[in-house]
Amino acid sequence: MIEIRDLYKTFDTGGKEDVVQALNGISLDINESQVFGLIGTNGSGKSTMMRIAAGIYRPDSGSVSIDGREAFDNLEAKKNVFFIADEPYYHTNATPELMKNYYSDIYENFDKQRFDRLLDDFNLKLNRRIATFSKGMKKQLAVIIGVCAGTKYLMMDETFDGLDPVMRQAVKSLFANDMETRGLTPIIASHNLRELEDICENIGLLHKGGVLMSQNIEDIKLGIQKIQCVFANDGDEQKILSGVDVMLNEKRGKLHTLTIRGRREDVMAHFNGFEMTFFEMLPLTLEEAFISETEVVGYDVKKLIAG
Amino acid sequence: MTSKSSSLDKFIKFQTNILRERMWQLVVVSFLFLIYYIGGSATAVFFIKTNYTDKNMQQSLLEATHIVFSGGISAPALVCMAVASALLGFCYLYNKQKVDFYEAQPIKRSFRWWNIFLSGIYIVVIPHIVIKLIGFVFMSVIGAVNQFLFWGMITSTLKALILYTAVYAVTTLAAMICGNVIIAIMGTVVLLWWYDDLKLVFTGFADQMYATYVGDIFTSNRFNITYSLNPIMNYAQDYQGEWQHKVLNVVIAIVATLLAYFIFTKRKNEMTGMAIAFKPLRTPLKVALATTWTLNVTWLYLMSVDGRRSVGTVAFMIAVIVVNSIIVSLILEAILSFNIRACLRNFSNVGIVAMLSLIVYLGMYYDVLGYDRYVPNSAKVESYGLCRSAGFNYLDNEGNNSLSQLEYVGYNMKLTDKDAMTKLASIATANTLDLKKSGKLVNGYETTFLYRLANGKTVARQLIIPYNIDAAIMDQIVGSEEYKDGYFPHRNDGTFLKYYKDKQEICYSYCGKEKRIKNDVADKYEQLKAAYDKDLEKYSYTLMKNGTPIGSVTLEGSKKENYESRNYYADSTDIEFPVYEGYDNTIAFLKENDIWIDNSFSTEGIKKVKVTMIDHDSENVYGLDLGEWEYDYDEDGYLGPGETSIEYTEKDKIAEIMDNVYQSYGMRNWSQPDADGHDYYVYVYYDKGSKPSVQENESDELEEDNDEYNNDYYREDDSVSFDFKAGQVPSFVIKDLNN
Repeated sequence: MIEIRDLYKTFDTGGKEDVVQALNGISLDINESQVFGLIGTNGSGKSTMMRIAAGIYRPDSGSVSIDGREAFDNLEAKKNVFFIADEPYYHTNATPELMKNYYSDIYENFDKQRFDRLLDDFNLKLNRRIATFSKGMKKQLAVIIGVCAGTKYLMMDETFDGLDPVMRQAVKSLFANDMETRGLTPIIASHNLRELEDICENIGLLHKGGVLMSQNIEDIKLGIQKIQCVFANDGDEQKILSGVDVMLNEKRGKLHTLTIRGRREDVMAHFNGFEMTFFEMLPLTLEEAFISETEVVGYDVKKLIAG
Repeated sequence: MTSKSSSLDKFIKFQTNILRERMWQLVVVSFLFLIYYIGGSATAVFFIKTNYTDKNMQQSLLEATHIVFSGGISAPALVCMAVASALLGFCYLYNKQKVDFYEAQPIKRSFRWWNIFLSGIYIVVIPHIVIKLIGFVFMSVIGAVNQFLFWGMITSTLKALILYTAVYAVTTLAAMICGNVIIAIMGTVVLLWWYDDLKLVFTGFADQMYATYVGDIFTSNRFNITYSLNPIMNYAQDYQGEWQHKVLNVVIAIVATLLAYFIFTKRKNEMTGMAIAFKPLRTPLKVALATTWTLNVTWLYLMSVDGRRSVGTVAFMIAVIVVNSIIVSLILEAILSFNIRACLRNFSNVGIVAMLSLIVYLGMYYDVLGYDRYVPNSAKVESYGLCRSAGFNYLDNEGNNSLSQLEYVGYNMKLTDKDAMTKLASIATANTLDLKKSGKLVNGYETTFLYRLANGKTVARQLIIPYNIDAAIMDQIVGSEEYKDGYFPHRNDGTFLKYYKDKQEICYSYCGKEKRIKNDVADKYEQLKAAYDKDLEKYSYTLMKNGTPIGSVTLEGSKKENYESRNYYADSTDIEFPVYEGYDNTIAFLKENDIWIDNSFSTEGIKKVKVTMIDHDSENVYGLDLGEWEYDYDEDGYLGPGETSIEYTEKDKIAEIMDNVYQSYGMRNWSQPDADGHDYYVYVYYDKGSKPSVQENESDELEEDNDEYNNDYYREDDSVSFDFKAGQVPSFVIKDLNN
């Protein structure tokens, strides 16, 4: 498990605003064997948080512990972590084979055979210079290396953003397999909610260095209901809605689209007690759930959805 | 597997990976060494075997071996390699992608750092040693090596590799402080040269503002071995094989390495790209750099005002310092931010820079620390030296003709009459300060005082002994055996006799004429020395002030080419014995050996005589250095301010003048102007074809009208210069010049 407690991090820009507060007291837990999505706009602190967890940056205060060990410059902690940056680096004139040999010297559990197989599956040449790969291919290679490194945690900073849908699906299968066989915990940072929706189990939403929410996706969806209805009488709206926790209420003519916090059964039971001209419960997408949660705090999450 | 073997395993694996990444550097470095050591040797051998005869070949081969394997040619290349190696090894710290890549790996930061550091050393050192050894073996196989060259090669290799490691460590330190490669290169230059630059600036300031400052920081100051915090300077100054410079470079290497590592442990990876990686260091470094830069520029302006002391000068310099502080701070800020618009950031630094620079300037201008007032307590002094320009050749221990008089005095003159010296130093210091204050022309004997302190240090001051000094004090000092031991080169002739054994001759010369002893020179020399030392019993300040030189005797010798020592080049030099009227024993020696030259002057053929008078009290003269005058032209050459000239063509006047002169290339070391503060110079012009021949006896070296620059007898305008004997300026000359 990765435990993040009261994490603060500032950057000195050397400019007029000398100090930028990248992380503002973040606390977060990332459980094992679950895909964790870290979402936020540019400048929200996702990459900073990831780099602290990967042991690249040292926090100003607070702690990041990986299975009970401090992350920074800790050999035992870092053996369990593989970090893929948004722009992965490879040695000059390196080939996948050279990188395989390099990483196998560093990560004890690196699976060379699996690497060769995956490379083949993904149609990448073992002895081709990586400098001639496209951006997407480089990211694919990075993911393959990360999976074959055999670490418990695989951190990817905006790696998915560069993969095509077919590749994304293939990677998801990889993750699923490794999560089941060896308890891999992928942690994916992205600024695109739609990309993460069907792969992540848990989501953490960062904004201006803080955590807006961190929850299981299903729990998010289970706890919010979307209803379209038409009230029989004009005065019924206030009476009926006063008994529920309404997050959003959009009105078009007499048609109300309501987002209500609460379990499905409870909300159904409440509305069943009243006469309605029209009532329907609709499935809620993750983005709708997010919009609801975040607009409440005045944050425009549509930027994330647009990607 | 034991943990020890697994650590070794890990180390080897890691080094293998590093070597794989740095293979191209290893190849380039090896290639360069191959070209230099193998290619250079082979080329030299080929050239020598093709162009030299058997007689010269062996020596030339030895010389070639010395140049290639013991010379300092490889040093600049090693310095460049050291800088490149350090920056290439640690350049990953300047690239965000690389930082993410390396720092995310499960490798201890300290492990990575030390391994990279080590690799940067062996990547150059190992090929250097191996290829150099191969080249040396090649030269020894063809017989171009001897024992001395072997040890020379060993010591020069050790010295060069210490230099490499020290520069490498300093560059690594710069790389840790800075956040990008361009600033790191600049930082390396600063770290290497700041000490010497500041030393240069401060000595430049001292030279301009302290009247008693003794300059020449670049000449070998072997009785105060000069050290630097720059390993390159220590390397350059280690030409006598002293161990101190090598040890200092080792210390620099160790300290720089430890500092670099410490800074690395505190360095934040997110500082990639910033000019200076540590915020706490930023302002102090900027202020220090800007102040140093301002002081450098101030020094240039100081040289332009040329030692002038006035309210106007001070005001001008203050303005220069303030304006430069602003400009320098702005430029530095822009450079370190890579943004011209950032130059106005941190403008408050300007105030600190200006203040520090002004403190230095004004502090030295007003001599706050009392530099010019310094006269040490005699209890703290072991012995003294007194140096006034002699014009002798002085040899170092290796027989090189490169020792300055000051160094010779430093080694050999140990005056122990503390009372007399302290009294003299106090009078001279007070006189110097008076002159400095008044801005008047030097009016006294410019003399360097050496104080050999009990703590081992030697301090030097240039003081002006007033002309009206009590002759008794001066006679006591100048007439002492201690003074003579540190003044006359024949008193320490061991080195000359050891190295200059070839082609020895004794030569007496006067007025461009010379006569020689070519046989039994060794015996004759001992006789000459004995006679001369007998005459030196009369040697004193009073004699030198009033006496008349009548030429000089020299023992000349040449150095044989000899590869058994460190000196590989033939040379020649001499030991000089200036002769004065009254040196009866020496004169007797000259006459007995038939090399005496008559010292009377004929007036035959003299066209005109010009007498120039210098008025030392002239108001047109400023500063303390005669060399700073601006000259006007007259038809015969230059006339400085305070100078007047008159010419005589009347035979009787010419005759009276010639009765009272002596040929002026002799040394009257303590001569002074007459009571009215005048110096006189006499220039004699001859009718065409009447100029006396330069040689009386046979010589294949000198001819009439020979090269004036090698013959003091003739000046550029073909006149012959003389001085008046002390107190014997004809009254008509004085009267004419004062009118």
